[in-house]
Amino acid sequence: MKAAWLIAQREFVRYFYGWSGYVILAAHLLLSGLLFNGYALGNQPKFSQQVLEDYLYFASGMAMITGVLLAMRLIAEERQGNTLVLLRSAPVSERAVIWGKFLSAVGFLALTLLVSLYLPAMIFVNGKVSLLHIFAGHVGLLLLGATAAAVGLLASVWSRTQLMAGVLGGAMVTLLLIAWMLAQISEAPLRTLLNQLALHNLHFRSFRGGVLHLRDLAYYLGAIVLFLEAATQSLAAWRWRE
Amino acid sequence: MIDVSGLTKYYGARRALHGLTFHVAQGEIVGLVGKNGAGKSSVLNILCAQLLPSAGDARVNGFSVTADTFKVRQQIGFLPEIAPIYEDTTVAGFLTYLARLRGKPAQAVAQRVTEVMGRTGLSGYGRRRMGTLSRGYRQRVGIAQAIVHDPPVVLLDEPMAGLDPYQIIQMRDLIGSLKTSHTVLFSTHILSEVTRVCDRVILIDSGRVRAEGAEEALRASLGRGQRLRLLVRGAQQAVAQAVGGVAGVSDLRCVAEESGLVRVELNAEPETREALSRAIAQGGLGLLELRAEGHGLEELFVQLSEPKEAQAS
Repeated sequence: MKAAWLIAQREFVRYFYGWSGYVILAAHLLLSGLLFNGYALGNQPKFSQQVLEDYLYFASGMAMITGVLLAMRLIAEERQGNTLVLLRSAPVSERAVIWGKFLSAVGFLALTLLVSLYLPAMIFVNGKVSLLHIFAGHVGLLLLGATAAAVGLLASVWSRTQLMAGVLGGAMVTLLLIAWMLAQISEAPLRTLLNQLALHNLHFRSFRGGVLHLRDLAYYLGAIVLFLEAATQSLAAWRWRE
Repeated sequence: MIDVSGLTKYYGARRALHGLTFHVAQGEIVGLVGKNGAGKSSVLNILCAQLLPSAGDARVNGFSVTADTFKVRQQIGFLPEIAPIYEDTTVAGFLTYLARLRGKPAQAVAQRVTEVMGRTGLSGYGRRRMGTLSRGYRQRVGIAQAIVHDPPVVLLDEPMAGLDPYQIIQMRDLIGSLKTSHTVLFSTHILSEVTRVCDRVILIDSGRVRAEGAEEALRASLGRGQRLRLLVRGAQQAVAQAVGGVAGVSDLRCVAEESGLVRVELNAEPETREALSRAIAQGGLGLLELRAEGHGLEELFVQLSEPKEAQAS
């Protein structure tokens, strides 16, 4: 746990050593502002609750993209720079490495959500929405983004370059995203399965409406643990392969 | 301190190590010498528990690389062939992070980092970003990270590769200084440096140990002695008779030159030189020059790397 925390701290700070952290943060703020004005507020009069739900809808897409972008470098960059040996020859478990890296990405994701919190705050000040709705929505955003980051981290373990990790992670998230579309053209019980597996459609709906549903919390937390464990086992398997 | 026993490693169908067995005692500096692809890096990667062997086992300070991975990693400091550094990180920050990651108590880290930086000639570089360092200094950082947690065993993979002669001398001194507190196993193919730093050499080829011991012992294992060159004044036949009669002389060649000089080449042990000069004087001949060339490590390396059948022929 101590090792994972050390890795998490270091990786979080590293986002600010280069340009990547600042660029992701700036792009997130810019796009959030633009989409808030263009999509959430729109041209037609809306209830403030609808504005918040529309905000959470596009913010969920951005959380997924940000999650993959933050995670794609975590292992692939170390592999490219020949620095992974520092972790693999240290008395640190593969699980601690993966969780440490993951926590740093989630920490940065939380930061991006924090700095764009002024948008729902404006809805709260100028409209009539509950703080619980904003809170539940942001828990959903964090869980959705964290799940995307876990998928991106697995892709990062499987890839030799950051770019490859980004493409692979993006493809995997997209596949999970469109599972509900596949469900529409499938018969039961596959239909039910695909609907339940879909990353966004069914499981984010309750967060968007301001409801914390245990089923959806369990889905996202379960998916995170599953993908991180897959990443851990893949990293451990390198001892056999390389 | 390091016990390697029957180590075999396959990469797919390719066999990189073939029943490798050797021992390194505490406080020794041992050079692992071999051609590219001989299996040196595989040995080091297995010893630092990054790789699992296909068969056999290795023990580091009593801990098995297959069964006690964690414990093994606590015993070693490892510098791979390309020094692993985070270019965007400062030297001190890098060493501090790794010391803590490898279990050094937080309150002892700052002092240890200062100490190690001093020992590796990095004092004054603590706040430098590693991306701005020269190759020589990167190697120093590589050594510093390998010893920052004070491991009993230090493994260095080609620590002198790519360094200029001045940097090689500094690196040699640095590795030599590790002997006081660490057992060191390092791989290299800069053979001239091996004998200056190492107590022993382990020569591996095609994943097997071909020879091991000090340079003299390796030379003795060839049974060829030193190559001696002489310049003698006198008749060729008289020179050949005088020199050829000395015990221990083999592979004698005499070539007559102008002005009554004879150039002689032979194989003999170093102690034979005195007997040779006496025989030449007793034969009424004049010894103008006697030079021992010996078998350089390069020559030994080539000869010991050759298959036994080739040596016999």
